[in-house]
Amino acid sequence: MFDTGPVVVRPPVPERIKQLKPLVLAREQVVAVADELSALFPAGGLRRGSSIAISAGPGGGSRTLTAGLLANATATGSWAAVVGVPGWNLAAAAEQGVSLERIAIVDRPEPASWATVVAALIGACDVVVAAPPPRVRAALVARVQARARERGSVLMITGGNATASAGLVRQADVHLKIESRTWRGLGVGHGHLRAAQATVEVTGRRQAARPRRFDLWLPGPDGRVGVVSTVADAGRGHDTAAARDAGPRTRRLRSVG
Amino acid sequence: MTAVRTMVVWCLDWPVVAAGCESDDVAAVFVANRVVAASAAARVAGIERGLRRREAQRRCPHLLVFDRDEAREVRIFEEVVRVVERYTPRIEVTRPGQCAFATRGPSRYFGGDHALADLLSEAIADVLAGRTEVRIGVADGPFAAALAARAAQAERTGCAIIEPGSVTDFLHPLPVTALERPELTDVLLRLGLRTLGAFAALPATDVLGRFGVEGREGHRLANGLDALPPDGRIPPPDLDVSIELDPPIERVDQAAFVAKTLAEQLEQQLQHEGVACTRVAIEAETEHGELLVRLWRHEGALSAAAVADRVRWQLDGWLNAAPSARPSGGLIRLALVPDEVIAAAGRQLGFWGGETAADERAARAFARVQGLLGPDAVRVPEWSGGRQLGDEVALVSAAAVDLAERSLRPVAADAGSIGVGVEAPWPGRLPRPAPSLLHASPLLVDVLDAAGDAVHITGRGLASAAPRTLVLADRRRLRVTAWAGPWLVEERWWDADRSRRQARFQIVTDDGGARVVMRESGQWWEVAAYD
Repeated sequence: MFDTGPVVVRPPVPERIKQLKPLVLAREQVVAVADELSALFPAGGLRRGSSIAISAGPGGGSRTLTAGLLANATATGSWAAVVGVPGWNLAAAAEQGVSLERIAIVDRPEPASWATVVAALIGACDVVVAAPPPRVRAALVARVQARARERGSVLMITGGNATASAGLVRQADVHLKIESRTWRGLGVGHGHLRAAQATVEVTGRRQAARPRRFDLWLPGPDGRVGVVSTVADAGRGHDTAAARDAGPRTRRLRSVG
Repeated sequence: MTAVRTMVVWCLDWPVVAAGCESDDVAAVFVANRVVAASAAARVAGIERGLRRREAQRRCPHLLVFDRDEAREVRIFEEVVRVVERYTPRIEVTRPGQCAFATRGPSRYFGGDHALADLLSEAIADVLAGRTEVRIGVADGPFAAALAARAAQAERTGCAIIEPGSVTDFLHPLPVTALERPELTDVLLRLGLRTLGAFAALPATDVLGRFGVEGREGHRLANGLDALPPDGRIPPPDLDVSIELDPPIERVDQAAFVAKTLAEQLEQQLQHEGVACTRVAIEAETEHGELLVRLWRHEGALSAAAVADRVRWQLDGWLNAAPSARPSGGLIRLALVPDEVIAAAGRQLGFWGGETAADERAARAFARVQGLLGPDAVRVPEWSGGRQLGDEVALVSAAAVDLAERSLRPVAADAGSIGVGVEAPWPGRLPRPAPSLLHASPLLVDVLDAAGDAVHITGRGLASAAPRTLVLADRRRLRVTAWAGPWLVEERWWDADRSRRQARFQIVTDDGGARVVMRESGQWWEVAAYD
């Protein structure tokens, strides 16, 4: 198709930039994710100071995806705090690779003290997973994000089941949206659930602005979250339009950095 | 050089006494679900230190259970200390229930160790009024004196006096575990060194080389010496911290606030000098010029939080004493004087695993959040194991566990071998993957067959018909695209109250969601979802 042209020539450029650049800039420091999942993020991992929104459709999967992203961080000694995500079965998180020695669960605070609690954890924990209370003011979330930016923690905003409101999602640097989820292993009256395959759309601001789609195991047959195979750029009209808009801007930012 | 001749006054089962029990009550005090102290009657019933609460209640169903309250223990122990203070100044409180002082002056004044011990035991027995018994031990050095107090027999008026110079004869037959350094004594026992004498017979240089500073301390104690060589304990003159209180403080909560800042200030000063404090004097001065002083000792070095706790307990003891013994006015000055200091060994943060800077930082943040939301607001997972969903991992308050200690446990790469509970076979558990969302209380749902009737479980443990429709708690109807089950679980059929009989299904619906639903007592429940 005609609008896949620029995409084909782009891949070598970041490689080249990586070779030429001697330093790791502060804004490029990342909390590593599993190698397979690094393709999801423009920075190759959870960029310190950034915020990541995770939302899911009716098929769910946000807890599984969150666990998959936390797995590598907690296993390498980073602490993760989870604020106000009720009912998360940590046995499942452990199957998905999260090291339970490095995770702390904070009860859902009163809406008034939500920001204070999250702000106290930012900086001390490398990753803070927080579900904002319903009808939270966008300005409050922005303040929490600013603190994460300043302290170099990764803020993951998750809404549990598709409650992350549109405003919060727009504020995040990277937005992972689980679009559809297909389960394997369960028949009609036989078998048992073994794995689920899901399509995850990655959008966001700046480098992540161009929407991309990935087929992920949520979770896979081995219990882990992984990539099934990369799907080429979305074919839908408005997505490619966004990609075209974002293209030059992305390139400009890179040349400055 | 031998250690300072010391008298130790030990009141038996102090935590139980502080909880307000008489000596014939069957009671035990628990910390983190383990017995830390039990009354004499409870000990007869088989309650021992370290026993789990459930086991303790099994052995003794009418056991009175108390949580530990150290502030209260100190406040009540203050009565005893005040009695001892009539005979000698500079008493150091080792912990609530036990205090020590050097006997050189008072024994000469009262006519010898025996006379002093008899006087004291009578006076303390008066104030205790039968709530518990008191034991007194005199020996060279506080370690031997404390062991002597424990060895003292009730029939010999509760006093054991080890003559000067014969302390090693007393110590050497005792088991090596008397050192109360579990990590060290564990190794010693496995090396075949079962008594203090056997350990003491080793050359000091070899012990230092093999067991480090801790080993050297233990070795010195086993030889009847002070734990630390005498040259390491001259406090530099300017380490005390004090604060003038204006207006005067009369309430404990105000004082506790001051105590915290003061303790932090002290710790900073000590850190600056590269020393740690093993004994601290807490001094308070009242409006009317009364000076209250009490020494506190700690086996390890006292941290800021530990000092702040002790100051708070002590002030609680002074300010909330009986009206006759209470200071006549508010406190106008509070000072902390590090009385014995040792060179701070420092804490080496781990390079691989162990305690890391990240753990410390996280622990501080959790403490802050606990301050905001309450002590149980921050919880950390622990493996427990179980058949039901949600039994595998238990959440415990982060305040109750040592976050750095946890990290020392082996972390296995695959989920199958993480902990004992997970590895143990739990027949009837749902196969992997585990559902990631557990409902706090199951949601009432409905599972319908093609005819629109509720599916039920037959007597043979089969579904009456294939589920076709799932009606959610919010009355949304979803078409069932795949299902399996029932997996039957029948637990505790012998116990009418706690028996459970349930049939579980996995159901995938047309919206892509997967759920665990369960039929129990004639109803359908959604218990978990694969979020």
